[in-house]
Amino acid sequence: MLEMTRRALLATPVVLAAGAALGQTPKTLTIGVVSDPVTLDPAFSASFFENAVFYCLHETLLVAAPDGSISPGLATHSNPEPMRHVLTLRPGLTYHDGTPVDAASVKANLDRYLDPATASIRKADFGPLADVVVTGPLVVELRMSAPYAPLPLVLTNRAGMVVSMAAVKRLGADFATQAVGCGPYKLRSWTKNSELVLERFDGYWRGPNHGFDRLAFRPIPDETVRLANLRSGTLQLIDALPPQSVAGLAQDRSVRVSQMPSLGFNAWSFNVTRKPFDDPRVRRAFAAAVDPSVIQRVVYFGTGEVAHGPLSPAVGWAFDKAYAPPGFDPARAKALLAEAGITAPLPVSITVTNSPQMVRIAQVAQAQANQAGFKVEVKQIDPTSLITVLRQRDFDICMSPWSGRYDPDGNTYFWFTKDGPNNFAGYDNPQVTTWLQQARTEADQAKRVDLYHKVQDQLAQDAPVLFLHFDAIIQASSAKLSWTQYPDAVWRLYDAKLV
Amino acid sequence: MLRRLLIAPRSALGVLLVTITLFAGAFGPALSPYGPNEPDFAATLSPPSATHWLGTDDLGRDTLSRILSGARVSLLVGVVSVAAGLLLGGPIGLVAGYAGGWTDSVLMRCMDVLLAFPGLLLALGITAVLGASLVNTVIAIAAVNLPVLARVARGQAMSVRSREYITAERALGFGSATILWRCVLPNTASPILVQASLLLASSIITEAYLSFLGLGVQPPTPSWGNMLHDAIGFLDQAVWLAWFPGIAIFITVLGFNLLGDALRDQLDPHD
Repeated sequence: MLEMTRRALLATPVVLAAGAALGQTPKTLTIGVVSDPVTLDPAFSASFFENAVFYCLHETLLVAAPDGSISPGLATHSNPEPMRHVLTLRPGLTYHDGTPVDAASVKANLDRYLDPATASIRKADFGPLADVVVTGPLVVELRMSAPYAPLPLVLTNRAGMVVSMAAVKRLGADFATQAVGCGPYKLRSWTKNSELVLERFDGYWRGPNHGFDRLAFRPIPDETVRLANLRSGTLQLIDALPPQSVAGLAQDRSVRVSQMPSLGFNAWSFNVTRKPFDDPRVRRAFAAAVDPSVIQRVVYFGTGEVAHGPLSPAVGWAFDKAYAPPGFDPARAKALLAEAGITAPLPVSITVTNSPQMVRIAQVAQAQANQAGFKVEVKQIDPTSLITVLRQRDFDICMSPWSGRYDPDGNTYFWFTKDGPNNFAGYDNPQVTTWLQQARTEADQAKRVDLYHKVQDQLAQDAPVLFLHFDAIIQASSAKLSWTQYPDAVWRLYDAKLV
Repeated sequence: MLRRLLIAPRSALGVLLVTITLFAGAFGPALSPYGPNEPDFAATLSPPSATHWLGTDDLGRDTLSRILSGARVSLLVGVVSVAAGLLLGGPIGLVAGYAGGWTDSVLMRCMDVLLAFPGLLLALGITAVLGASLVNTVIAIAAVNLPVLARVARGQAMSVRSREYITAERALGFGSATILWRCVLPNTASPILVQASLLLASSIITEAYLSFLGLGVQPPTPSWGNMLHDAIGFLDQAVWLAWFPGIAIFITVLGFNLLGDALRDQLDPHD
């Protein structure tokens, strides 16, 4: 009876939506997301959760498929020489405000990202991009100061999103809340922390074949509440389903759970710039004291995969399935601590945000490490403090999860080169930096893979980071909704439709 | 008085519930079948059974052992925060009420500043500034209790300061400190103690609130509040994780409230 009621409720918006096709009310897809965006401007987007809206509001120059293969988006791409990338735009495209998507506007966008005065966090994504030159009304040339293999995939990311420069000039600081892009949907309204509504844009380059007239994003931070709203039919699609709910939902035929490996990793950074983790033996000891397979079973309920390095299984061409560095071994952990001259239980702290999942992981690690010669304290911080704690290196061990990139460069270069923006550990191995620089300039994919595997081996030795888990992207929807899941957890909902 | 407390059904129930809680706090950890932080990763989220009477949590820790251990935390926070509030707030209120004038104004305006904030908001603010820990939780709750007890003590002191026996003590040449200690305190103690017993219940609730919000007792130390917090993510899979700490809070708070009511009735001079 309960099952029938739930199904009936979940079907209600579907019926309403079907009725809307007859011209009554707009067909609306209501989506539960973890957090409201901070900005709608891709130049300043730093929150992972903003992506949920970004790829519906904005469009990228190139497009990545779920398997990471690249296809033309707003433009086609060619690479006639290692240092030259040519982008040829589709003709007749406009932004949501009617201004043309042409070579001049693309150059203005990329120049804006690169201009130090803009202080855009996208600048680092472009690597050695030296100049953007307009060579025709619809042709732009990206000239590099060094070969940069990840560039095409970078252009499928936020760095490849272009916006109306007329709107940027007109709106100034208000562009962050009234952004004008050229994605499949345009901004209709945004009530902060309540609802952000997008409306179909008929000038979209793929044509006006949208599955829905409107997308309504509702921020609901509590995972239990998000799920309850999906089951009641208030929402038809939700992000970040808790792993413990997956098994139970298998029985619920009104809900469809979708999961796939993510591009990122869940890892903890050791602070290698101060005691006790300045000693690699102590870092290796801690790594040997913690069993990620228990974390995978107890905290992730069997979803995702145990991580041994930074290369995600979602990037098949670089991931090494057989890779298995020395793992959980409490006896080895104790021997390494003894070798480092540590006899009494070593007090260390693990800093995590107060998210229940992160605290649970820390508690599992705490119980295990305490058995192997450590005395672990778990420190909880507010999520907004995390980036400050990491950047100031105010920690012994600190959670540092990464959403990941399609190109392995994004999972390695930023993290393990001396000046990398995500090198929270303070790691400095010149050999690793050299390999990573070679990998981003190398055009031969096989040689790149070889370099990344060398890096992976060296990271197991140096242990600047403890790799724990490759989280699965777990999202859920009404069983009547058809949509495509991506390993970056981001929705491109142009093709979402009711079936 | 104890006999009178045990005769009335409501107060007898209060005494019983408080006794159960005190017993759990005093001897529970020694009687616990498992360590409160002893995980068993092979037996996570087990329902109540002969092995684990109240089941296990998401890390395989025995819920009964954690509830018993949490009783000690709840009582410790409740008793220490009320005692601290009593030791500071009582004298402040007595001095303010007895002295009157500018002493009263200065001391009570300070208390009014604390009273201006809702109790939970004040406790949240203090733990947010000091950081989340057991000691800081006690400090925060004591700061909430302090002005309440000071107000009660002041009112009582004001009501007795013009009595004949106080005038007589003054006429005999006793100093204010002696009069406060020998005459004012004994004659104002009952209402202050009744208020303190009622504050015990609200302090335990406040601790549970703070721990529930992640600002109180930190894991792995169990408290009923953080056990409830942990249970939220598993309401679909293991609802008993929320039941048992909830029942423990209910029993304890009900017990202290009934006992406080009974004490008030017994100590009421008009009765």
